[in-house]
Amino acid sequence: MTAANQNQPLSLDARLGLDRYEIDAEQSHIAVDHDKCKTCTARPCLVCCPAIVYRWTDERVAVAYENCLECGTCQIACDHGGRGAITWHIPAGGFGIAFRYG
Amino acid sequence: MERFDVIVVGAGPAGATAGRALAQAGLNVLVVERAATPGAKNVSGGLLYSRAVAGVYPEFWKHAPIERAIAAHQIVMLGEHTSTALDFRSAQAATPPYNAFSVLRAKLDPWFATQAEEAGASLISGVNVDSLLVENGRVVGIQAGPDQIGADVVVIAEGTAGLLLKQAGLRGPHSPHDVSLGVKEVIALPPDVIEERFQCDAETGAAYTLVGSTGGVEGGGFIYTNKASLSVGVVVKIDSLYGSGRHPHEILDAFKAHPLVQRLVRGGEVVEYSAQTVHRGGFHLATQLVGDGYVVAGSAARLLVNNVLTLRGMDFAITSGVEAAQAILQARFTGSYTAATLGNYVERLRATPIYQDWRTFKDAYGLMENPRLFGLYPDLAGEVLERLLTADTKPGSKALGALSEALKGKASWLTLSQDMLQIARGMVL
Repeated sequence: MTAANQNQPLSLDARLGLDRYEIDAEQSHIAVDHDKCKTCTARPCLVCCPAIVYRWTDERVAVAYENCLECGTCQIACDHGGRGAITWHIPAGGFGIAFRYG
Repeated sequence: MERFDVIVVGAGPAGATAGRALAQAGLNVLVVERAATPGAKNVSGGLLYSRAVAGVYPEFWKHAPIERAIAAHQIVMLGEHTSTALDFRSAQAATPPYNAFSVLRAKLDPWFATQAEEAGASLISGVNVDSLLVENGRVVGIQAGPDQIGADVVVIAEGTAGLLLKQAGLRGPHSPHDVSLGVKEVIALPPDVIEERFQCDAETGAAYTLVGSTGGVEGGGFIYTNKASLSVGVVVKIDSLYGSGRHPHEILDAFKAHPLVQRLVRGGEVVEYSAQTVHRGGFHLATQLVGDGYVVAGSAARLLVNNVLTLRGMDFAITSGVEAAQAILQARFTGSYTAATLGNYVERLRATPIYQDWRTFKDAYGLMENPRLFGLYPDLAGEVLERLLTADTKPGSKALGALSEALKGKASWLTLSQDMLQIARGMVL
């Protein structure tokens, strides 16, 4: 039995490791205005992202765009619950998450 | 500049269906899909309801890669350690024309795209449409990388997360109040285990809709049986989610840890983790559906229903794809594609069962805003039944007495009756 067979939940990293991505090494599809984040107390991006793409590290938001599942939740959460610092773009054609089941 | 009669943005059910219908009518159609393969960006948190789809793709279940015909539907209230269920089974839903199918989008969507191609539409995949070309307020084509491609009319079927309409100022931002996040796992299980566990046969399957499973966060959970896997997920309102401080995957884990869910997924192997936003939908919340040179179809137009009990989008997408195509063909007679000539799309949609369903369930939206529905009542249902069904050493009581005991300190009778009336208005009456 593999770890995934157990009833213990998989770690998020293990879950993301199951997914297939075409990573765009050239550019991130997520832009963050870090000055706005400094004044943000709620930081809903840290909570809402299903892949925890956003982490508060060294007094700023670190963005692991390569893990993005492309749901767009961060944009909505930041626009309304945060400071509107996030600009989420669609990844370049063919890049990003590639669901095998969906 | 290269030109087509119609460009369709997005090869999901809405876009592919519009592209197919327009190509069948002899138009020169280009369908542009951002995923390398259609469906690879898409996630279903719902079922493919059959009737409207069969009207467009006759007997599609014989050809399309669907998973199982849903012949059993369980509506479950999850308390902390209880579950209270309504178990509905229909032999009719197990035979043509069926009611609904479980589907996996990475498998299903390529089939729809192929139908469009076979009708004569050109499909390009792995290409992002960066923006709409707008001249004097009129959409005249698309920009995709270095390429500009012109068209008489553009069908925008970019899904909920698409940004073209927003960038062009043709829709406002989504509200976290109206949009939910769905997170889902596909959990592999052998077909014979699924059939035994869910009491179905090789072709049929079960759908579970669960409330009370999301730790007080407004939303619900689902379990669908696929051929050799389960789709297991939670759908939670985004404002309620960031208010809760809990990560989406933690809510999913808590849901999976409930004894009922745990038994259903036991021994399975997670093979994919996915997420997708879903708008609550409704005609009153729809985007502007037409403008000069464009129409909007599918979930990009918010043409879907998410009211906790029902997650319906794909059949609406297909219906809207057909109506968008018909509206374009009608506008074509006038020789112009303006908001006015394309406006018959809206009239056509109003005449479809989609519109009727929105009207029917319009009172269900209020339920999404009642936190007691997601916490107190599922617990209460279990508690009342536990009091009724448990042989205690103390004297027992009838249902009303049990309810009265269970309610103590949690909600007043007045609140309870008001909520029951709201639930009845939304779902029953």
